[in-house]
Amino acid sequence: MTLLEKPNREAGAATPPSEGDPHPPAVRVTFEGRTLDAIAGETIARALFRHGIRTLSYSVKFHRPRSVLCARGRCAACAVEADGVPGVKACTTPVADGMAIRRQDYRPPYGPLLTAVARVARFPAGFYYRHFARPAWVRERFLASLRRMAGVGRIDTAGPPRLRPVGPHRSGARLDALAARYDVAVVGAGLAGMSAALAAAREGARVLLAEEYAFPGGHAIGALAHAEHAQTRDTLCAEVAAEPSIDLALGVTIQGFYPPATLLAFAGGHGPRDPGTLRRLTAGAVVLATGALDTIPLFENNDRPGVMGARALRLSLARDGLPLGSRAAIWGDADGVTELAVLLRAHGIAVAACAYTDEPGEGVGGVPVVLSEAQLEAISGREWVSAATFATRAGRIRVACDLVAVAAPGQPAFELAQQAGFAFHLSDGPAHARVLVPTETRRDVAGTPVFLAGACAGISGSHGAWRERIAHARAAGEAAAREVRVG
Amino acid sequence: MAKTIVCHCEDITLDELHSALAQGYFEIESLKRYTGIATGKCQGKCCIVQTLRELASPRGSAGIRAGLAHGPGEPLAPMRDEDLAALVRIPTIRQPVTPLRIDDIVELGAEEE
Repeated sequence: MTLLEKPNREAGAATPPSEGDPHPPAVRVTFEGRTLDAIAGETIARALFRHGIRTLSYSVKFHRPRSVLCARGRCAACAVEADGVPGVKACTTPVADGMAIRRQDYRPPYGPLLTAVARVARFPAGFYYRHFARPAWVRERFLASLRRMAGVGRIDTAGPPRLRPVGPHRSGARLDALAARYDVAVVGAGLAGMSAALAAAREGARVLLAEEYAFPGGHAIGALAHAEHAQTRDTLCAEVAAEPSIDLALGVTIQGFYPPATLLAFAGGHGPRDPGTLRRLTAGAVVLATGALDTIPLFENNDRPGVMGARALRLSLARDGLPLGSRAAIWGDADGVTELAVLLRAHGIAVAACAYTDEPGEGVGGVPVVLSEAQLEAISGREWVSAATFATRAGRIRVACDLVAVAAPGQPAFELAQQAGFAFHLSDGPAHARVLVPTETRRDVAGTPVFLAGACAGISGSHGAWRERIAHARAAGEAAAREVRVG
Repeated sequence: MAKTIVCHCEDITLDELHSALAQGYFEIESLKRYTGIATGKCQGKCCIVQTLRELASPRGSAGIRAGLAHGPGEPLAPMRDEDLAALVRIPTIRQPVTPLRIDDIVELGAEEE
């Protein structure tokens, strides 16, 4: 059973324009005073990108351009000011008619001159918050003036709170449809989460399957290289929807885990007009299938907008229809590069180069530049990527492109796991390939069995590992249901 | 200006991280306080693996060894560098999982009561 199935247009999560109604109403927004046409339901980032505005904010210290990076509201690199409220995440917040948008931190943080010096000179670490630290009143004024100079917005703390949830149309209202207690709560409806939930339901448990995104399937969204992978995703989605003892709560983020068994569910929160709702839930057993986060390795100008990880690309292209670029360079291991090539091409982006950290294997056909044992060394471009330079045994190779797709191993999305007391450490192996892995995948948290499943359990490796992740998640779901019944 | 950024939120460069390691800040909590790494909007979600890799690199683990000479710390018995690197702690990610406005949480939490 699916709850929160279709978030309403006013306040729900952004839906891909392709899946909405055929003629979504046009709305108008303003960007720094300029009026722009937008489409109801699209994200702020998409509306701005379509009008050629890709720099959404600037970094706090060196005033470097920032844009969509994680595409899921985790990193806040794309935060803009909307309707006078700062910190609105452009990647996941839908536009609303009349919304006034402006960049955040749009001015050099300590004046143009000093910022220019700071970019070139090597100031001591933390210089911008360490100086003028005493006495306290000097520090306060110094920090306030830095922020004012940078152009960060002000949160209005005077008067009644503006963000009070109002009316029956608030998007999180249907959190009320959830039960207060479930036998098993599964966090994350990716392939692993869905497998765990189905396994638990088949053992007779009443299951909550909470999913942050507005759709099930997680990062398997969009075109996949292997037909079997895509088919498994579709089958799991259909089975979950048809299973009466699973409550699939879409658009619900579990924001916190409070031992022994309380989960803090949050729905809505899409921008200044949609404050969202919170609700506490409990469960007899918890399976954390929160997936993985992109990591961007270290190379020159690795923070340049246009450098994106695999998950961010999937979400930006398949979920949001974000016009990211037309010529991509892909860097990663053989499986990762193949997956990204299939995805990018499905969205009309040409693959200019495939740079493999190892050997190409079967490889991707029809690519002009193919590099083996390549390291991404540097990115060129002022506001957006214009070229990538790779180091190979044959020397340096520079590839002109307007998108750099990085298929690096992800890190487990370990926030909730950590709150449940799981410990993570770096795996063995060569420095660049070391990833975070949990020391255990089942813990007793003050009497509540908590399991890690899927990529969150550190089973990452190559993309082919999805079968392994599903098998592991299924076992976790079964075990969770059995332990609840015994307890 | 070409820079390699470890922490996108707080603009911490690889140079700054290396200079902090050279000065003996080889433990994640003191690195956070000294450089501001992992203290920005994402609270370390995006930079922690890269930071830990640097700590586990010869540069970082040399620092860890040097630090251990100053007082009691982990490990209690001598061990291999690789094992030492596995001990590098990760900071605790605080709630909420995604950046939320504090007043939203306070306001909505109060409504729930």
